Amino acid sequence: MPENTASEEMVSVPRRFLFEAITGISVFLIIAVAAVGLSFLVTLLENFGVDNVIVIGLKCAEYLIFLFDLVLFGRFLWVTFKKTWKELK
Amino acid sequence: MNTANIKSNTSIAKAAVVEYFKPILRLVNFIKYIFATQSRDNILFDKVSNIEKNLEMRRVVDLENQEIFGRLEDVILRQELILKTIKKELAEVDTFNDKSGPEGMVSLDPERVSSWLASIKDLTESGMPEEVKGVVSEAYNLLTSVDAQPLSEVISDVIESANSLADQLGKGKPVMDIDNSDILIESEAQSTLNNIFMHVFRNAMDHGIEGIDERIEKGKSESGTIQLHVTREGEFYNLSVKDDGRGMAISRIYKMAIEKGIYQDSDPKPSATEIANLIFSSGFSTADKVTDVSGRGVGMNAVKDFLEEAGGSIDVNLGDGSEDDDFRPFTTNIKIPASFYKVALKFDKTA
Repeated sequence: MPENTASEEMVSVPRRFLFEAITGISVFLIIAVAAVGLSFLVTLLENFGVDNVIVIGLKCAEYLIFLFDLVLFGRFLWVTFKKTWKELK
Repeated sequence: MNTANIKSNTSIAKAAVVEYFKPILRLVNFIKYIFATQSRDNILFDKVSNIEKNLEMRRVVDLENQEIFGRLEDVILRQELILKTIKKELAEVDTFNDKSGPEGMVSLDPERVSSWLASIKDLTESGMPEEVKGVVSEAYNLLTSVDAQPLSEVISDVIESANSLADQLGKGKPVMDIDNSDILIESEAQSTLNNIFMHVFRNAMDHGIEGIDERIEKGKSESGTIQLHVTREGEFYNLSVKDDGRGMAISRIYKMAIEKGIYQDSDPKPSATEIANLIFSSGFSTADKVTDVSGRGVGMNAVKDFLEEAGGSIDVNLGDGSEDDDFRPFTTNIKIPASFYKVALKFDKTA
């Protein structure tokens, strides 16, 4: 009956949001881990006495990746939340 | 967790990943546009195009994974590509239909289809070129028909049943005059409407439409006619059913109501319409004897309960005649709520 369908929909929308959020967090973490890995690499290279230009370049790349990841994650969460909210209304 | 759930979760995750990287895709599109406007021979332009193609690959959808509509959903968010991609989707749906087994049945996730339909409706509220309107309308109607059916198809079993009932009762097969309108009945509401029409048509055949001899005597055609007209009333649709039988036995209903203690003989007689609507009361039947067809008095009451639970209603309007007539022509009005139907999308050409 239609009532059942409506309640199933109410359950499935949060479930989808949950899956989307988990996926988003996973992608965020994967990229963040890459940025952190790069940070370790930079520290290692510094200890080996690698040229400062390369070290600074890699550090910039590390911060850029992390910043991009943060922006993408924030935007993703906002878009997903907005979509879920609209469907629940 | 069953396979369908796993597939559904996988498709949600895929769509989420695409959504996550969407700004990058847009950025690449923008860079490509800048280079395209500078020089099409630029090597960098080709490289950016290749990157874009790779990113587009993320959006390739597996037909067997019910993802054909996912891509169209994405397109709705990117209106600039709508015409090209919807056309492609429609071609894919046709292919999918061809491959999908007997009787062209398509297995789709109803949630996705509903969310899709809502998105397309939102989209139609914004201005779009005529050619796009045509394709969007086609896509909408295609999706609508996935889990909804025209009224005439929903009640086809009932019509068959009315015909065999006519044979059983020794009456002529009724002529069905059905004004189908543009409504499509939602799958969840189909069995309810089927039940309702089963009761209404059976009552018409059993109580209303006379036997062949009686009809000929009255100067009517051998077979009765049952008319079904569909009209819109705000967010409701009114399905009105009437037959050319003898009408409703108002005096008999009134007599039975007195016998059952619903009315007192000494009380002033209620209006014929009020009496007519007693057929929806629990345990009320005017049939002379209880048969397989009718006479148990639970049918019309159950019909009313079905509809009212779903937000609709059912009642009887009487036609011409006086308050004292024994029989009165009548129309059964079945008002169905918005959750019962979908309407084919039509654009106003003058807009």
